[in-house]
Amino acid sequence: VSATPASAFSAASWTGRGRLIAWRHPEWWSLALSAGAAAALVVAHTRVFSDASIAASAGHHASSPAPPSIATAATIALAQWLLMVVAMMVPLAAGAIRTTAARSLWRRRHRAIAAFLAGYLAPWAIAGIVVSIGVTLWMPSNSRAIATTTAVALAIAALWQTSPTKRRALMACHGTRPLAPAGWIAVRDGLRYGASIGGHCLTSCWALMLTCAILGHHPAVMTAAAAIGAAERMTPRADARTTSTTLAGLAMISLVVALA
Amino acid sequence: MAVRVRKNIWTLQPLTAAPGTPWDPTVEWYARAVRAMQARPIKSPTSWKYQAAIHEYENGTAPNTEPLNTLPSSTERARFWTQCQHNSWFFLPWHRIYLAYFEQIVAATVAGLGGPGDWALPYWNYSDLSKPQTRSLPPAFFLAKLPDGSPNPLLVPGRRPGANTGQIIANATHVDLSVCLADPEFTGQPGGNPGFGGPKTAFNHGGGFPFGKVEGTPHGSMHVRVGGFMGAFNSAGLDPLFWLHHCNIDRLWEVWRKISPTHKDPVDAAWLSQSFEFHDANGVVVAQMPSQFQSIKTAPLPYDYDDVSSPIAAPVGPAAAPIAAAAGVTVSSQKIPEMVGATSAPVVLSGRPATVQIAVDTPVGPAAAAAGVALAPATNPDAQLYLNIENVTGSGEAESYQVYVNVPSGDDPHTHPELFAGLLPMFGLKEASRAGGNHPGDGLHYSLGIGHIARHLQAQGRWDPADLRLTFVPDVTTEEPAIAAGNVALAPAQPIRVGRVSLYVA
Repeated sequence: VSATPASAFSAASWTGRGRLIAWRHPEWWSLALSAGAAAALVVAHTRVFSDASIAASAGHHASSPAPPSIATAATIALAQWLLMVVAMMVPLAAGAIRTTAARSLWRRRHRAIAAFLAGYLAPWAIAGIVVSIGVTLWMPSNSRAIATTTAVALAIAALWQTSPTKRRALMACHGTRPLAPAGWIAVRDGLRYGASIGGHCLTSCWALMLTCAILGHHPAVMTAAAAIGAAERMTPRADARTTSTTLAGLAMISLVVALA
Repeated sequence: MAVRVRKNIWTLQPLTAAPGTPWDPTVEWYARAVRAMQARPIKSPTSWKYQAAIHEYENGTAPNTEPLNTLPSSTERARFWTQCQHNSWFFLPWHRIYLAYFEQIVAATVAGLGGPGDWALPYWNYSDLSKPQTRSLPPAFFLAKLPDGSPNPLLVPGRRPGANTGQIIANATHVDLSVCLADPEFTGQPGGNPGFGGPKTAFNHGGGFPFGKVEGTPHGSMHVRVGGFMGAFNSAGLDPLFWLHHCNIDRLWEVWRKISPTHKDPVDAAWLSQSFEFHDANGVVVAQMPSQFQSIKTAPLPYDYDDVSSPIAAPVGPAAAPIAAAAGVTVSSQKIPEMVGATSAPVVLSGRPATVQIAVDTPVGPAAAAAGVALAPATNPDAQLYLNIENVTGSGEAESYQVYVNVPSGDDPHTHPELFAGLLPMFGLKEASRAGGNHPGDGLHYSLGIGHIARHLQAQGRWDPADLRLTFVPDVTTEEPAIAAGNVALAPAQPIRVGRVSLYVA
């Protein structure tokens, strides 16, 4: 036992403590990525907000920049979508990420996590391209039309919560797959597992995420959606009607905040 | 509140049923209460079918085929049905509280029928190795009629061949307590020791967790040995024997805690304070937590057992915690399991023995100190090796499998009990394999300690980690005279797919 690697740490040292936590929680860097993505979204939102208020208070009517091209706007929307997915969805997959690491050879467990994440983000990225183009092309600009679109999205999200497909997908988010231990098939299995969980997550949460995208990735809306996603993930057999009602309630509050 | 005393059914009635033998009142009143509960509509929380549905109800899947308009509302079903906790540290406390309210409902029904006020649920102790007949069904559960000549509601058709004729349906392995009771840890870890009680999970989870040792054997193994309704999550509670079986499992938790002062329940708030909801005998909703039922004599529904003596000697040796101790950290007393080898392709079991080989790598992480363990297990008695059998799926009611390690080529595995790693009970295989609202569909998962086998092989100079072979053997016991004599045909073996087999060092 004295040769245990852990004994290389000085007793109770921060290094030792940190190493042990990293050993027990190999998903730590995935969560760090999520925190970074969340911070980037908040900063972006704050900057847009403050730029707008500075411009308004300074009365710069004539010098406002030209609106971005459709391609640029869609790219920005896609970047925001992906940041949102990393910020909100990756933490919900922490259990699957931990399982991926635990089911991998120690020397390749972080590679396995990377493969999982790549697979996980793939379905979300495909959905993101569609959503970004759609939002860029068809998103109305006057506030009344935005509110109407949002109300429709919320209604769809609330209804989706109660659908059997959503319920199956939510449960499937807790699934596992056999992972080959080494070689390219280990990478393939990691990608497949990630894509499978990512696909189930997308099926389960697309309506919530679409609502967030329509509301311009407002931090309050995303926080509410993340709270719902986390709650239902922790109690996958909870009554869909309760989560649907909760969603509608919380989303309405978020809507008020977003439009305030 | 009076403390009910749960008694061994074999002390209440003889091992075999001679014609005209009077029934013990406890058992006879149970039968009458079961009949009364079966007559209640499924909407009633105190009905037989409602009580079984609390474990699991899969709408539309046999036998859960009640007309939709007779069921409680979907909100009520979501809240109270399909709540069973398996592959989880909540397995024991959830079933304990489930059982306590069931017992209260039966007792109230017994009293309502004019029976005794102190009725308590008996338990089925099948682990008395000196009396093989204890591994048969208690006669009250297969006799056709009650003493008054009316049909016996405790008789359920469709159980394993021989079960309803009083045959011995299990062997010593199915009822073995030496492995589960000796485990010093309640809480298990994915990959490593599954613990006595199971791994730390959330409520109603998936996530590929193995079940705790007592949940495997004798719990899962005896579910499968009884078979029929008892073989599946969504029908188990419909067999009146289910409740006596779980009463015994609950008793074994008490036995485990009394064996050694080091045998302790989890102290985590996540375990102690997890709320479970049931209905009491008045149909009123109650919410209880594991912490309220840790002391059974002072629980909200107090009860006790007539016998919690241990059939095994107190285990020696401390619960080792080398890594956390060496790091000077008290995060957990448990080690960090490291995966050192796995199969790359699934294996299909079709009712015949099958062997797979695992390529074992050198540990480089937390188990690196135990590198010699994989290579020379005797050098580190603290280190353990665990075989994980992951993502086991199948669509039919399947027999369990036995697992042996490194059986010499050409030998019958049964002639090598020293190489026996453990049983893979297939309880719940169908439901766990079906993706749907109740399960993710990724199958069953097992973790079996094989450190003792590695040490045995090493002592004989036959341990080579580069040559680790597993043999799956169908679990058809030779202690079933009806089957051995060829009088009863077993159902054709349903194929089972094992997703992966892996080896962990912890």
